[in-house]
Order: sequence, then structure tokens, then C-alpha cells
Amino acid sequence: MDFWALILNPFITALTVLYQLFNSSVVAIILFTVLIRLVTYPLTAQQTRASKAMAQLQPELKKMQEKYKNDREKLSQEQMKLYREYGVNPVGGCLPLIIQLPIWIGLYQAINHALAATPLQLLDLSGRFLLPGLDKLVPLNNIFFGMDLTQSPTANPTYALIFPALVLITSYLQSKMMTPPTAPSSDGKPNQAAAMTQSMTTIMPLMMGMFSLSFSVGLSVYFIVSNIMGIIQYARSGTTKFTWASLLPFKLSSGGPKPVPVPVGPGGKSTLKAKLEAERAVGLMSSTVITDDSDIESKSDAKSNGNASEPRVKSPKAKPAK
Amino acid sequence: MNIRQFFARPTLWGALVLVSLAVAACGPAPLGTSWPAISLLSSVCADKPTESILVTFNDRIVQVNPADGTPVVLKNADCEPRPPDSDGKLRIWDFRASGKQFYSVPLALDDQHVLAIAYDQHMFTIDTTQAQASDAVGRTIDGQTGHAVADLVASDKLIFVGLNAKDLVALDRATLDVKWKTQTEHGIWGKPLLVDDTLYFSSLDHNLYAVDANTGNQKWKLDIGGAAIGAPLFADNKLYVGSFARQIFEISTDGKVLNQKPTDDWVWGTPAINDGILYVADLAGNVYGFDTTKNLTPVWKQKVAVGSIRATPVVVGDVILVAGHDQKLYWLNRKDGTPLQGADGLPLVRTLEAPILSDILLVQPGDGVDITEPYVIVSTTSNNQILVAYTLGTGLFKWSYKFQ
Repeated sequence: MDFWALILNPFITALTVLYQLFNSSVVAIILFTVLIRLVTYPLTAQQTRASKAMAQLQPELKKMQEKYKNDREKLSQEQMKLYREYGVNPVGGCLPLIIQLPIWIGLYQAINHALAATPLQLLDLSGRFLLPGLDKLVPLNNIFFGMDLTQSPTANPTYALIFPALVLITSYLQSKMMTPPTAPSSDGKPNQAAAMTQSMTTIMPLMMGMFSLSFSVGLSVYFIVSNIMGIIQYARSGTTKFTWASLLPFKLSSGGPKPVPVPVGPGGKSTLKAKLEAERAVGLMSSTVITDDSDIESKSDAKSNGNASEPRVKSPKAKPAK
Repeated sequence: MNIRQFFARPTLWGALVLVSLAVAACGPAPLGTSWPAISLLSSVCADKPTESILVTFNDRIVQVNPADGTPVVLKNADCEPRPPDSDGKLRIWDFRASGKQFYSVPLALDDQHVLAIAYDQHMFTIDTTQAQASDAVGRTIDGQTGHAVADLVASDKLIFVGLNAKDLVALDRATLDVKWKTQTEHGIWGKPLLVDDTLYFSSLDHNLYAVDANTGNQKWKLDIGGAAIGAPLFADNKLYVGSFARQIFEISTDGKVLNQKPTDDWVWGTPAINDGILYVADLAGNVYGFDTTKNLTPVWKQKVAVGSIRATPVVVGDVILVAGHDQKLYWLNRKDGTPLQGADGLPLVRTLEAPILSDILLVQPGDGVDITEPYVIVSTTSNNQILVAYTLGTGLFKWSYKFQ
């Protein structure tokens, strides 16, 4: 048995069992995607947490890069020192992603196989069921409201085009939500890396929407559900203060870019380390990043008792105290 | 970032291209979703009969000489090769339908035309003397949706097309207009079987159907417990068909199950019969012999291939030929399914470059084929080894053909 069979066979079996229970390919895909998103949630949360920690260190890293721009070895040493000091693993966000990747590909392939649009896919489905009696369900009923789930939206009735549209919208919402607002560099110039990230937020959903025009409708269902689950999980994580206005591709009011907050404690001392530690202690669900000026003020006012673990926010141009 | 800044960033573009490739790699491939369909095509050239191999794969249909594996060259009315093209190359028989994909064997309409149907049900009537279709973009079946996977079958007046949108459609052989259609509850991927005026066909809806070939009126349908893709076999006034319910069935022509026997895995290919023994292969790589004179009593069973055996076994004399997903062609003893020995005393097995999923062709010496002993022709899913020929008796390699 090859590596992929270890992932694919249980997935295909589970998907087919769900189909047997609910007698609907769409319901089976939805439930299975939700199930997998829930199971992999700890990994997703860890990845989010690591990304956030790295984002919070960015101002200090940027400062370091400028300071040691002519000494790469020293820069590397200082960066590692900073990571150690704040207890941040620079590749901490990659490992969960690497673990999740085969799962996502497996899920994707399982849906492709189970729907078996082509002779090769159907042929490859044989011998993959881990439970007896599922053979008799093959091939799964792939018609949903007059649409063939194995075919692309363009090969289906016109109303199937709603699926690429939903893929685009949900992809956009998810990536927009997960991309933190960025501040300009301390020298006032636009932050190139952040700008690139922001543009990816717009381009990637567009690409996903376009890809969905050629993918089967069944896979679009998977993308949509997966995106919605991502949005829900991220919103519930409390990692960011969610407002619908923040998801718009344009700003409702004029003003400069929202800063990435750098929390400081009493006397201007950095509390980033304390904050990261506090977050790790209580878990991601209780962590909060303040991204709105009004929030900054209210938090600062409310927490004037000098509690070091409660962040205040410096102005965008202020350098993080150390 | 404005659009000008975006286009000015090669790193960003590079990342987008990589992501696009990654996502596209997960998507359905436009080609290579099936295997070549191969058949023999008889024709007459200057009053001389000739036979060629017709290979249909992806978006191409080519003709190959069975004697030496060379592409068939287009000829004039005197059966002389046409003058080379402007690049000095011989004009070979190579029909291409850009953007299409062919899954099924083209149907010979007459001495000069074949009908090929693409997956998107576009039909091409190809002039075999020109290798060109009368309608370059093809035509679809009037008022019909769905895709064509099944091989075509024809009577004197009608052509029968199974579609994956549940329908079996009968077309007028001359005009290709729809004469009648009948619906099942799932796709039809198997080649229909025409016996007298009755059309038998299996459906993915787990039923075997019998309809009047002239009217499309259903005579009966029989639940065989699982999806069926292979064409039924007709012998001794009985039908034989395997299914994904891991069963092989013996069925009367009035739709009654006479006998059924279990197999280890799904049965995809049509069974073969010889001297009352039914030969069946399953997708677990097993080959079975059942005695049809004794209520399908199992005679033997052999685990032959590591992967699945999709193609119909070929039985010739004392030899059974089977080919598998494990890229191997096996010579088996008809009496017990054990491997035949080659001249070197080892099992007679030939290994190819890619899975062998297409049906095996047997080419006999005779009119139109310039060979001295029977050839076994197999086809793989690799463009580098579309066809390979061996001698039937000794498994001696004769030639291979690849797409150029």
C-alpha cells in the first residue's frame, strides 16, 4: 500500500459511509469537509498563533534588518536571539501546514475519486473501501438539482456558475480575514512585503474563482465549505476583532493604513513577550489583537492599572521599546 | 498597491505562477483520463483488402500497420502513397480533434468512413481516404446532453450510443438524427450488445437492460446488484455479465438469473468463453474459469496480476492472454490458469512501460495483413508505447508504436 492509499482509502471510505447515511453526495462532501476541518483545527490554530506571533515581531525584526543590513551573520544571530527571547519558533507556522497538506490533498482526491467522473478514476476506486458492502453504492449519485457534480460549472446548467462565484467570495473573505492590516515602515515608506501580502489577498481568490470554472462542481462545494469553516474558525479564535467593514476590498472612510499594534507596558517597556506568553498560557481562544484606534484608547483607559500583560498600543512610527 | 506596482514585481508573479501550477495539478487533467481504444479496421485499396489498427487516444485517432507498427500513409486512388507535404514528410493517417477527447472505438460506417464520437458527444464522420472529417467541428446529438464513454454499436439502419447522462440513443445511420432514446437511472459506459433485434446493455444504475433495437421499447431490466460497465457476452443463447457487486451472472434472454458466482473484486471487462468455459478477470488481478455447462461451477482461479485486470481475456487454443494495470502481459494455460513457460523456462510474461487497460487485439495472418504468424497487440497509457506487438506463440517482441 502506498503512502497516499493510507490517507485516501480511509477518506474515501468515510465519504462513502456518509453518502450511505444521507443518500446525497453534496451532504456527504459538506459533512466530510466540516469533519476534517474540525479534526485539523488544533493544527490550524497553532499555525494561526505562530503566524500572529511572527507578525507581532515584525517591527523589531525590521529594525534589526536596518541596523545590521551590512552584517548578515550578526543579523542572523540577533534574529535567533530575538526568537529565543520571545519564545517564538520562526518555522512554527510551517509544521502544522506541512502536516495538514497531505490531509487536504487527500480530501480533495477522495472527493475526486468518489465522484469518479472518468474511467480511470472509477477504476482507481476499486479496492479502496475499508468496509464491506460499500461497493454496491458505486458510483455515487452525482446529480444535484440538475447539476452533474462531476462536471465543471460551464458544462452544467447556467445556474451552476453560482459555485465559482461562491468560491471566489468565500476565498476572498477568508484571505481578507486572515491578512492583518499593515503599517508603513518606520521610515514612512510603504511596506513592500505587506503590500505583496495584501495584493495576494485580492489575486488568490480571483484565481480560485477562475479555477473553479474548470473544476467539477463537487470540488467547488468542498472549496466553499472549507472556506466557510476557515472563516468561522478564525472568527471564533478571537485573533482579530471582526467587522464586516474590514472585509470590504476598499475603505469606507479616508485615512492611512491601520497599524499593526505593538503592545507596550507601563513606562514604554515592551510587553510583547509577556503578551505572547500570556496567549500561550490561556490558549488562542482568549487572545486578542487590537486593530482599531478606538479599541486602543478604550483598552488603554480601562487598563491603566499597569498590568504588564495587558497591551497598550504605540503609534505606528514609535519604535518598539526593548 | 496599484496595478502598475503589481505587474512590476517578478517575485509576486513567480509566486502566483507557482500557486497556479500547484492548484492546477490538483485539478482534473484535460487529457489522460482514460486509455487507448484499439480496433482493427478493414478497408480496400485498389481492390486489395487491407487491415490496419485504429488507435483512439486523447484527442487523436491514428492508423497503424499491424505488420510492422508503422503509421499508415495516406494513399491515392491507385493505392500509391501521396506526395510528401511541403516539409518533405509523408502524409500519415492522423486525425486530430483539438480540445476533444475520445474514449471509444470508432465505428466503421462503410468502406470509406468511420464515425468517432468524442467525450463531449461531438461526432465526426471521418473519410478514411483523407483522414479528415466532413464536419471539422463535429456535431452533437440533437437535444441530448451528457458525455460519451461507451463504444458504439450499429445495426443496418441505426447506431446506438450510450451516454453518461443516463440515455441510450439510437441514431439514423445515414443522417445521425435521433430515432429513439431510452433512459436508465445512471450513466451508460458499457458497449451495447446487439443480438437479432434486441439490444442488451448494462448501466451504472446496477441494471442490465434489454430493449427492442428498432423502437427502444424496454423488454426487461434486471438488477445485478452493482454497477456494470462491461458489455454483456452472448453465448449458447445466454448472457454473461460481471458487476461491481463482485459477481458474475448467467442470465437467460428473457431476463432471469440462471446462475451467479462470486469474484474477489469488481468485474469490469467482458468475459470470454471457449469450449463451455467462461473466463473472467477481476480488478484484484484474479482470473477465473467457470464451467457454463455445469451451472457456472468454478473450475479454477488464479491470482495473476498485482494490479487490476480490466481488459477482456483473450482465449486462443490452449492459451489465455490477460494484461493488467501492473504493466504486464501474461500468457496463461487455459486448463488451469497457471503461467505458460517461455523458451527460457520462465513464466511467459512481458513488462511494458505503463498500465495495460485497453482490450487486447489478436491479429491473424491473412488477407490484408502481411505477417506469418499471429500477433498479440497491446496498448498502454503511455504515449511512448501506445502499441506493442508480440508473437502469440512465443511472446517474441515484434514492434512498438509511439505517438509522434
